[in-house]
Amino acid sequence: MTLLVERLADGLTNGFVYALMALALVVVFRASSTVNFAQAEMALFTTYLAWWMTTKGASIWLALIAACIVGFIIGAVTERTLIRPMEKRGEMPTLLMLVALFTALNSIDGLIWGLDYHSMDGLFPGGIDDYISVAGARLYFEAIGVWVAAIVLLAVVFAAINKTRLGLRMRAAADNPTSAALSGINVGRIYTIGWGGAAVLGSIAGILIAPISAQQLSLATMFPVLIYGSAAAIIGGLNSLGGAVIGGLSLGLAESLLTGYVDLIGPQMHQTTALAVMVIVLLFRPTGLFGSRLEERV
Amino acid sequence: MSTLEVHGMSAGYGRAAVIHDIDLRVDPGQVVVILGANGAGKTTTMRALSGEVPVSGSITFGGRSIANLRPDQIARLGIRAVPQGRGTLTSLTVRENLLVGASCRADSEVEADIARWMDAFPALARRADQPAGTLSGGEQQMLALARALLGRPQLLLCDEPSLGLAPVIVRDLFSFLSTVNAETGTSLLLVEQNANLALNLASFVYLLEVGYIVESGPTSDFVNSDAIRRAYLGM
Amino acid sequence: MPASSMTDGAPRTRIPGVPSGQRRHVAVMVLVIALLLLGSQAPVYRVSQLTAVFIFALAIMGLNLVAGYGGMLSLGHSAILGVGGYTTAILINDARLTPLSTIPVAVVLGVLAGALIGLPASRVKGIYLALVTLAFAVSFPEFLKRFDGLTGGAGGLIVRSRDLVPPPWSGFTRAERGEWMYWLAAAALLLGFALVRSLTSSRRGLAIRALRDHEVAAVACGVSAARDRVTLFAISGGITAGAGALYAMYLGALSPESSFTVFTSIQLITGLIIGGVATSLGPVIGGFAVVFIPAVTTELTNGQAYGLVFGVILAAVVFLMPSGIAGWLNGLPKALSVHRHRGTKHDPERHDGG
Ligand SMILES: Nc1ncnc2c1ncn2[C@@H]1O[C@H](COP(=O)(O)OP(=O)(O)O)[C@@H](O)[C@H]1O
Ligand SMILES: [Mg+2]
Repeated sequence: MTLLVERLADGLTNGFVYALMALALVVVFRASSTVNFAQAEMALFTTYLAWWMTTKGASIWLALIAACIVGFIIGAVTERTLIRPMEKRGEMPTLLMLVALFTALNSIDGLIWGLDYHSMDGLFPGGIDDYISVAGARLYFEAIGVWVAAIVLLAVVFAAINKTRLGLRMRAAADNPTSAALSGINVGRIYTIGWGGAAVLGSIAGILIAPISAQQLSLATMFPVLIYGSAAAIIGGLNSLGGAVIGGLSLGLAESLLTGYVDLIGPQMHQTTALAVMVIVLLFRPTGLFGSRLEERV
Repeated sequence: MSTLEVHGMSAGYGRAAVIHDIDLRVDPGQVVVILGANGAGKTTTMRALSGEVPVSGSITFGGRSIANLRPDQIARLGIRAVPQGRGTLTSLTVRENLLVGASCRADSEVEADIARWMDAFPALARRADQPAGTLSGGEQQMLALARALLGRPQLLLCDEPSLGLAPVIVRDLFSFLSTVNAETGTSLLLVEQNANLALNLASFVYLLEVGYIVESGPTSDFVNSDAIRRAYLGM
Repeated sequence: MPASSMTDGAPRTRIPGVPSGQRRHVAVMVLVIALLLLGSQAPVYRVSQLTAVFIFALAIMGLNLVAGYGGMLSLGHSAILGVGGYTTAILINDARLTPLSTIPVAVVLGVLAGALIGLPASRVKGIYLALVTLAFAVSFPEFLKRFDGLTGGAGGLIVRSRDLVPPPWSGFTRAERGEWMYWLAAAALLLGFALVRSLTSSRRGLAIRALRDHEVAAVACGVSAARDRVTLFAISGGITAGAGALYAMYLGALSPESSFTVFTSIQLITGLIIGGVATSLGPVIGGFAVVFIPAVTTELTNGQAYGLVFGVILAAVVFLMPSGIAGWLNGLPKALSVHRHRGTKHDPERHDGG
């Protein structure tokens, strides 16, 4: 029982982070019909930046804000300079641009911050005694903080998308860019904002996961999050915001329970498990569990 | 109110132009129709005016050059297009579709306008909160019109609004267009293939054939021309 | 992907009795052998670098079938390379086979791996397929670690150099393993080149390219999209796994993180893009790029920079030279003659498709 609760809690913590990454990928997909392979590396860069600021004495909350601002700029500039020029050339050149950005960003992180693992302070108390007991299991404030932060963030994102003018424009541009433009919406600017916003989500996901990740903060911290995030996004349908969240949470929980209880999978096969689920969903239900349509550009 | 003036406009999708050297004029409050067979370049003309395809030549609206502006810039200047195929935002609700039409307005009368057009189209009011993709073809055409009108345009471009609709609905649609024109003073530039109703509405006609304007004049001249009657009015 | 190289690899009309085409072939072969002989006289470390070039060129050649001629971006070829490499290493170590005799097994397993990765290609395309292939690339190192009894896990495998001596009939001595590998890799590359060349100029090959460029039309003409895509992945897998087998023999040591992660796939893709997609020479140029870019950047910086350099070069090539170096070279004579005759340098046939 105790073990079960701890595994569920772990799964939920990871699941929320995957959900944020998946949401970022979906926001980008709805704008540009592509999967941002570099999403996690953008987040890694801003997470390093936040960590570096804390080593210089800045508070982690200030560092978070700086990371979000820089993240927004990276996302927006990427859309404007690398993605939009490829728009007419099809999806392969776009993907190649993102692959290029992926390796370049990771390498830049290594050049600036080195290959060492760094332990990073979290946004929430992370001491050995900062926990509450539930059914004998220890729920650390660090984990609970991630849940609360993610829930608040998701609520803000969903409210922004469903209740604001900007959100309406984003949904219009995603649904039918031509009609949106004919209605006076600057679709290009909306896409830029979407990429920027997605990178902000990723930045926050990075700062939430790095303090509790097994890799701590290193060049390999965020890539698994991209893998889970894209699996979650695919499971959710790649264009469904709600589907991304449900996909992320269920992957987090499934990962924790499956690798905990199924011997064959064991601790080494985490990502394979997530990806196997993704491939199966893609093959048998290409629109995902919640997606409305499959964007297919021939 | 502004006048649309087009001189020597050519446009196309790649190397070769599809429409050539088009001259066109729409005065404030006027209803103008472009007639032409399938593939004549009517849609391309509309797209050129709304900024969806690159053009050469001059297009001015209210004295200001709008050639090769982006579609959203042209829309914000007061030209709204109802595209062929209606351009419904299918995953948004009917109400949200209308709000998209008004998304660049900062005044406080948006709700009043929505109420007004929903009054005119009760079907839209009934299904205000349903996804617009579930509407019938006729209802989607009404929605596209209402969405465009919510931008309070000075000029409305309508590309074959009657396409695929039942004759009764087409009649409603044209009487609605006539009301809009009379009540709001919005100029109309209509494109039609089959033109009985359009000619009732329009005061000036252009004939487009394989990308060229081959004839133009006041409607009365056309209704009385036998050749035109045979070719475009199906008589 | 650029469709600019339609002339490259297309069937040549041969006039019977006029052996001018054959004479050209002979001339090219003589030139190639002369270049190879020249290369073999280089200093030892250069010979070794050239061997790596040939091996990577072969791996990229496999990738080119799928990504170039087939128009399907695969991020999974690092896994296929690994299947070939680990097959050879395990068979030498555990089954005591001679290195050469492991190659056919590696190729067969590569064909199977390619078909497995390609199976989804019969159902999904574009970014979805890229994600599926990414899944294989990411899973492969995890599999290696999971089945560590066979693969040595995270620590990897070492093949002892006495198990890698050249076979007696080759005439190379034990000390000449470097030269033996050089010639072996060169021979494999030439074989792969001939295979791809004949494949892409066959009717089937043309059909496959038609599939990439105009799927609807091609299917209407009786090309089976699903079957051809899987076949393409399978052949591609065989070629890249062959390169993997050579890689194991060349290095004598394998580990999951060093050579078979998704970064290797990215390297192969970058090489292919720089060299020129859907061209027959592109992969060879790509092999040089993949080997020499890291070598040069490591000399200039502390070694962390080559990911950045790869990224920048990849982006620049996609932006500025979408048909790669080989595509640019192919277009050069035409561009020049057009330039001379009409004073324009735009090739109207050239366009970029998805
Ligand atoms: N997106 C497009 N790309 C290339 N050619 C097009 C495109 N749309 C239309 N055309 C061509 O332009 C010509 C005029 O088409 P269009 O303007 O749609 O005619 P109409 O609306 O009068 O039926 C046709 O020959 C058509 O084939
Ligand atoms: Mg038309």
